Amino acid sequence: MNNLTKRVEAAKEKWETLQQNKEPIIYIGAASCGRAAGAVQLLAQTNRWLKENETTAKVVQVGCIGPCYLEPLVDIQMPGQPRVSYNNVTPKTLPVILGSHVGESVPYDKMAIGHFGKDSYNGIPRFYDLPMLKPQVRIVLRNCGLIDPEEIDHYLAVDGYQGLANALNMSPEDVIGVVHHAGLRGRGGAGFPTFKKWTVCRNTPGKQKYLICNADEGDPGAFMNRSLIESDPHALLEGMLIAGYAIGASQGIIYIRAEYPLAIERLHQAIGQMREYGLLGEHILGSDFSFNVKLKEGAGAFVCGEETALIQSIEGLRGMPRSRPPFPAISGLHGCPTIINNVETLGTLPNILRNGADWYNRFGKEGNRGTKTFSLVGKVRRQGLIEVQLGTTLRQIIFDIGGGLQKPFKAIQTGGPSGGCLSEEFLDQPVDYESLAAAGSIMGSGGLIVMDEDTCIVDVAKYFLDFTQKESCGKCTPCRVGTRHILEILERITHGEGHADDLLALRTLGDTIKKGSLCGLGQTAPNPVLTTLRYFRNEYLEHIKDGRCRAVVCKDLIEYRVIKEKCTGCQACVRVCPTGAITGPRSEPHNVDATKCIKCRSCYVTCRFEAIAGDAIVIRSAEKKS
Amino acid sequence: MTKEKMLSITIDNKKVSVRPNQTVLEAARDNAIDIPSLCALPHLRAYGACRLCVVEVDGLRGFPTSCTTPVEDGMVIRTDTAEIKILRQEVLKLVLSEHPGSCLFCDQAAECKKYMGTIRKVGVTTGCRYCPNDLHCELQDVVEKVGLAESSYPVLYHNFPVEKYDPFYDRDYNLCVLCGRCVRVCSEVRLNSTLSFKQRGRLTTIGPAFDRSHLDAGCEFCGACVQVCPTGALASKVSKWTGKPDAETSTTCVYCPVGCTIRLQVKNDQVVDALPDYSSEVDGGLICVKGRFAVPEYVNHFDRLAKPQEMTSMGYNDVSWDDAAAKAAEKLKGLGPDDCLFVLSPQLSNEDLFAAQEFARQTVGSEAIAPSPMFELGDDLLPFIDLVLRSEPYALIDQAQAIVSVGFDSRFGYTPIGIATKKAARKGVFLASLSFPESNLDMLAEVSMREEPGRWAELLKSLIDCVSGSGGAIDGDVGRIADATRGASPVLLIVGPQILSAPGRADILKALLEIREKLSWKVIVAHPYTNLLGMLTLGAFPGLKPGDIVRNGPSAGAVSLRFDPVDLNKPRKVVYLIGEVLPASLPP
Amino acid sequence: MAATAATIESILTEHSRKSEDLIPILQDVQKEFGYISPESVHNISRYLRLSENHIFGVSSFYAQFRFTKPGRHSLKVCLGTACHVRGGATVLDTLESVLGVKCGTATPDGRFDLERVACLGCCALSPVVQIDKRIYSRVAVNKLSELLKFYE
Repeated sequence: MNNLTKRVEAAKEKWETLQQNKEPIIYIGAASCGRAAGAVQLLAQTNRWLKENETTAKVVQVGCIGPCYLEPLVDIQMPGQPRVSYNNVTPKTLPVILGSHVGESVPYDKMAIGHFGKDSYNGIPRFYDLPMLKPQVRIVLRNCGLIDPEEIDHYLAVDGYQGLANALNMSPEDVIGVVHHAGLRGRGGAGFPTFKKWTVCRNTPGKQKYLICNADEGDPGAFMNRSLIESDPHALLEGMLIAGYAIGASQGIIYIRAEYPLAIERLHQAIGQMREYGLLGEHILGSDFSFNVKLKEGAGAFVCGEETALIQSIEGLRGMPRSRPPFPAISGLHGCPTIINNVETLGTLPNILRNGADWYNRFGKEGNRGTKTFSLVGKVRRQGLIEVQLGTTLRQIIFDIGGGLQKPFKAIQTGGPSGGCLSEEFLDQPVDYESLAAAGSIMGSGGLIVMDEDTCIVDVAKYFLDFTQKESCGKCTPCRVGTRHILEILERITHGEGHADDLLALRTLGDTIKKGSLCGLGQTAPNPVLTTLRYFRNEYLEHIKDGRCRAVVCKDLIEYRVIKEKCTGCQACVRVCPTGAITGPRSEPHNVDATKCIKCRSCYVTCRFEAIAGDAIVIRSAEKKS
Repeated sequence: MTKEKMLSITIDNKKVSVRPNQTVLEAARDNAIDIPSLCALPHLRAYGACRLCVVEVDGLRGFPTSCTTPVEDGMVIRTDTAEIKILRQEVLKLVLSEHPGSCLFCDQAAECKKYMGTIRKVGVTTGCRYCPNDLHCELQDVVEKVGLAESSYPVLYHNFPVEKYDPFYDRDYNLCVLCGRCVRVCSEVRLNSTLSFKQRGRLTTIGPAFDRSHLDAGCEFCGACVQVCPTGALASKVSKWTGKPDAETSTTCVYCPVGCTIRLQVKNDQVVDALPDYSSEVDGGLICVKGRFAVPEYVNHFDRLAKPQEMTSMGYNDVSWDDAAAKAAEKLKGLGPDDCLFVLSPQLSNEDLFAAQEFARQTVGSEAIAPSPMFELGDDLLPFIDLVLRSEPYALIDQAQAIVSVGFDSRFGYTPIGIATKKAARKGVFLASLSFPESNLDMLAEVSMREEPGRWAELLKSLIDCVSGSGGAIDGDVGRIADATRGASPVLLIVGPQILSAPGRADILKALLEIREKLSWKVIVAHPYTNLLGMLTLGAFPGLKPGDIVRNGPSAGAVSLRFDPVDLNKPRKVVYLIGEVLPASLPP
Repeated sequence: MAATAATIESILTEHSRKSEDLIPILQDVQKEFGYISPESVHNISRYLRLSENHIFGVSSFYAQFRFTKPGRHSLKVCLGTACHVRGGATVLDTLESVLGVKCGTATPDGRFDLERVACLGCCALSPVVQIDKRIYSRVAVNKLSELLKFYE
């Protein structure tokens, strides 16, 4: 224990020194989102600027603080001044910002989005007062975007590994008791009370037990786990140690998808640092607890996010789920008692063990304690990674935090391919496990996709079923064959070839697949279809009976037309049409031949942005063919 | 023997007492509740893929499969609610949407007869023949049990070409319902893994790597997969179109000393198929290609002698049994003991062997009895028999700490030995294999030596030296074997038939005997002489009377077997061949 | 080839001989060679003492692994509707005959990997072909061979 205390002290000193910066600090958000937005270029540019201007400054790469729509984010902290955040920085604007704020110590407030100080500063609002941030309660994400994920000392300085130290001072049973009292539920989607699984594992005899972290985040649209690992890897690792101690495991395995190379790199680095600091291996922090962590990379199978399929994959087999019983907590990896927890569940533990269960109970509500991270994407104005208390309503998330939509709201999709689309009537529903399940969806891992009137709901259902069909392992009949039939029906409907009894067939198939499938993937695969049937039935009927797609998306049901009164005959569209469907002489209104039109949008886009008229082409529902 | 504590469960409102350690499916079937299933089988691990055997269990969410749920005391189970019935029907409809259903949903079924007359130049009868499994198909049975009259889902026909260029059985994967039984039996029971699931989801297929032929992929053609297939996807070529057998007889295979039980399938008094018997205590159902596929073909082969024949100047003529016996008796009358030589086949039954030696000794008065191994082995016969008589029971394989096999390949005989060895190797027991050109044990062997048989004697000698510490090579494969076996006990030496045709056979046998005596390894001999032990016991050797070996043999202590010399090269008036004898075994 | 065998050996010896190391081994082989060859499968089979069929069954389950050698340059022909109508199919046919391979495989000399993709999103410039990271628009069938000459 002395070792760590010394190190913590040293780390805190280091952090203090950093905070009381004698020189400027420039923070650049360089997790995957930031990089995709161009952070690497900005990083190089910053270093060049500093060299050219003979200025010394500390350049710190930080992780993702959340609002992806503001990336790339560059923060500047001058000595004695609060840290100021600049959003959507480009190679053009960077030198201006640096020149002003670093060169002349004057924040360039026109481009600043917020600051991290206490009071107002130069008319720049507090970052945490921004509408997207203010309602958030950042527990799991508390360090993301603020510390350097490659510096273990930063983590120590902000009380990292204090939770582990507290846990090691209790008995494992007491640790489970704390987690029980805190009411923590699995954040991977199922929402199963964490302490229950742990208790079963703890009580199962066995010399070798395993703790597996499920970092296979396969839901399209979900990136919470990736962000956490890239921005604060030690939070996950500390959580794994706490969990391992509680259940009596000596080996931890992180099963992480291969598509997250930066996260994998950060984990390897963090694990190396832990070893150096005596936080891994034998007698951790002088206790009887010994633990090791290794990584296993996924190989491209969404189904391996399911517990038993994950175990199969680690064992070197096809990722086909196993029947339960036996449950993994009793007989899992290599037949040993195994606990599989999601990244977020584990990432929450250090906070609970550091601050206590009573503290955690202040957030959320009875039965749904604590917070949850969500990736809020789609047609909202402010897209990104957020963390809110359980029980927050969808309306608060979409409109207060997300800034609402530009066009009328249509639906919110939760839970990825296992979840469903909820309509307007659910906006005032609290986001908690039971409410979402009652509506026919699930909380899932946290993907929230906002849709407006330009989204065809049948097309969305088709998209998810196509995904499920590609990812189904093929072992059991209901999922492998049933989802194929559902997909075929949806394809017919979107092509305008639906039959009157299709809706009944969809419901029957959905019912069979839900009840008959072997694993969670199959059991939840029909949810996108069943929820959209329930809440958007009319849209289905329109496709089938009227051959009409009200969102004007399904290609076979729409047509492109020229509004003769508005067309100036500039021929911009004629030049770009690949099939020669749009024709017309100069200065005379053009015409679309529907038989040749392939709905590629070229003419529409050209007219809007490059032609004279701008709105002479419309896309609308086709006349129903008899 | 401790009595198992019975468990009490309630199934469909009936309280019953069941054995522990079984699944709900098994317990139900024991109590006359026949839950339908396509992928479950008694000797395969529970899989839970077809989803037909779903039930409701109080305390378990949803609809668990009864084949994967173990019974627990006090369990309440429902197998037949309306919801379950509908679920089963819907799942079955999905299964059938990937399987041609003309045999199930033909609208002419009511008017159809078993045979239809077809008007051709000569009238013939035909039947509706589109699937080899018709009328004895598990899928048909399940459809009947579940009670399905029609399926509204569009059928997907994959259009796979029928795979018929491998020997013994055909594969038509258009009929496959992906129950996985074939993959599991090949992997769990036969420890071979020729068949594997490939790709995933709707693209899943079954077969060997890289679409190789089964011959190239290491298939042993044991036919275990063919037997477990619930549809007509896998079908044995010889019995494919013979329809449902009408009788079954159990018998013993004569192709190797193991003597596996085979269940002959008979139709219209003809043997049409041979199936394993998984409850057999001798072999546990692990028969090889010979017992499985060779038997029906040989039994019905047109070249097989079915009637007595007499050689005439115009060739062979059929004669009646009485005539044949009379003519033979005539030729043998008045012959002296030295005029005859009796050559006996090791495939003869005990009864036949006794009768043969009785005839030779009592009727003809001759001791010129020559079992065919005598021809083949010459001077090596005695050392070889020495090895055989002290061969250990097969159960020893399960207890061995290390196994070394010489000249052994269990694909064409002695399969139970081979599979038990593979099982041990999978569990971590050291396995070394010396063979040429290869052995089916190679894949699992830690040391696999593929050496020309001419070198075997010297390799074995250096192994003995190495293990006993008296010098010899310490590097290389022999060294590794020595290291693994030194200090292990029991070490098992499996001797296979390849040594019998090896050059330097005498030296090999000498080395093997030395291994047994000097290193105290236990020996199991796998040889091709089916009833060699019977021959020895019943006195089918010159100078060995019936029962001698039991009185004086290995159980009585030292073995000193002496056979009377028989001059095999002496010209005789009569050579009486009894049983199947290879031409190579005949006297010049 | 001896060099390939040696490389495979060196990859194998980095791992234990336990069957649970199968996927990490396959991932390292894929990283090194770009695909899983029959030779690799054979060597892995001997090292882990698992049948080749089992190994193939496991690797074909996961999307990460491919079994044909990738070419040095990836040729993607867009067959979205716009390109299709503007002769995308003819472009594909021409490439298949010029290169002598069917779509979905690589040329024997390892130069090109020919694939068809759904839509590259440049419909106004159809037909479209993507070579490595560069997109070529309004591709003329008679100019294809010339275009390919730029790529070794």
